[in-house]
Amino acid sequence: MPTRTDPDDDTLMAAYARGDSAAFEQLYARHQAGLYRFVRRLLGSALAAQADEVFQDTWLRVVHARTRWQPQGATFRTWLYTLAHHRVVDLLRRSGREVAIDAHEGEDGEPWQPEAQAWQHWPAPAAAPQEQAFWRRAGERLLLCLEQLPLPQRSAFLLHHDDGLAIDEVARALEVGFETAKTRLRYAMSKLRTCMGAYLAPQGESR
Amino acid sequence: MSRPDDGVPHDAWLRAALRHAPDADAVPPPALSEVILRQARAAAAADTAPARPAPAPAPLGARIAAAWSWLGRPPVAAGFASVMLAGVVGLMWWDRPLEESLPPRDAAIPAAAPAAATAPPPAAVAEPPAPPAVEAAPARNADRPAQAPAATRAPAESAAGATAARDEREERSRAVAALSKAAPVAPAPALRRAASTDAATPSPLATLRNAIGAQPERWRWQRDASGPRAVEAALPQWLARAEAAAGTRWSADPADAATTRGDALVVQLWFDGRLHTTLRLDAGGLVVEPAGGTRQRTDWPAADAAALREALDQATR
Repeated sequence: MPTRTDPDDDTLMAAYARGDSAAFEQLYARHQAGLYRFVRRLLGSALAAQADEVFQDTWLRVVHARTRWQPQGATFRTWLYTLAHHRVVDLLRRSGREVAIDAHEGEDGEPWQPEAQAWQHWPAPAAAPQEQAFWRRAGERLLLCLEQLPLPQRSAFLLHHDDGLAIDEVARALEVGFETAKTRLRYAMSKLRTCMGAYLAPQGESR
Repeated sequence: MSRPDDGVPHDAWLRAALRHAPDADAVPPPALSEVILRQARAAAAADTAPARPAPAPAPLGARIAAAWSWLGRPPVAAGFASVMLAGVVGLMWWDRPLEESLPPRDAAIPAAAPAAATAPPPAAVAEPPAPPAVEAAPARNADRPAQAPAATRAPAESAAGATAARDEREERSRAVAALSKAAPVAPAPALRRAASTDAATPSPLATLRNAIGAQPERWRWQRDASGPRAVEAALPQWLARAEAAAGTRWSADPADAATTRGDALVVQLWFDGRLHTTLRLDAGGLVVEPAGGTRQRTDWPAADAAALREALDQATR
């Protein structure tokens, strides 16, 4: 994340559009890890081998569109994830996988509500070192649960929880409305909690 | 952690699970990052390259120095010297006849003879064969048709013409030009007669007298059926007298023409035991008949003929 003394993403992108390659290097260093992780988790284990291609193609889109880019409402980071999302959707379609666009509705038409009972036995997020093994297993399980989510919910959850975008930024990145983004996010969180709660044994039983 | 204005707070447990996922620390391969950064730098360089201001033109002195250093390079200097040499040679030959620029060729001179021989003027065809002395003239004369008397002086000019080669070449050029212009035109009768006279000008008696005077011991004479006798002073003196009486009035005498008049006095001249010349003196003139050569005749008045006959009779008695 940039410090207060570092130029923001939009300034760097504008500098790169004027031919300052060092500005691009700063942008790349700032977002390369988060974007790479986002692409890998969107593609899942089945298409993990395509992550490098999508990642490179996303950055080359940035390079080619440098002179046309203008910060009109969306930040550089939002635009960057939008490009990556488009590339992932294209790849999934080319691979023959169905990409559900309207996947935020539950069977009964109501958003899923989490059950507080399943979480009461989990350790606190700020766990002690002796709880690292538990969270590593939780992380592995979460990746499996993410692959079970539809792509819109998966992308909304990752942008919001992993990359730290606000709901409105998630909406811009996914090119949907604010409420749609929020609904997708709530569905994703509910399904993930259910998936995670069914896998993880209560803290007292696991030890 | 969660944003109050989002309406959907972050789930701390899910975020903790994401942070501890096996791919939490995944980064793109260094080679992939290098490829992306290289392409980004190349694109930026392409954008900035056309925007660079054009370099200011070098000052005049620097440009001259650069040109001089360029000329100083061996390949350039050699090429420049070759061009200069070719220019100088070209200027030396400028406006000169092409023949002068070529090496001298003697074969070019007789080459004009066949051209003259293939298209001789009508007068030359009608003329009888020239006497032996004329035939011995340089081949260059054969190139010249029946022309003005000045043209017949060419041998003398040629003898003296060991002068400058340039004058000789110019003379040749003029002769060839005159030949090409005069060939189609038939010469006038008066000119033809003059040419015939001039062609007989070298008196056969003078040639014979000079030859005897040079080596008298090798000569013999014979009159009628008498045997050969050594040449004494009387015979050359008679030849000189007859030569003076004949002057230039010599003409060819065809072999099949019986031109002798009356009883002729015949004197044969032998050189090293071989018949060289036969003299036939009749009432009207003298016929000189070289062995194997062309006979020539001269006529003179009857009084002169009688006196010369008497003198020859006494000289060969």
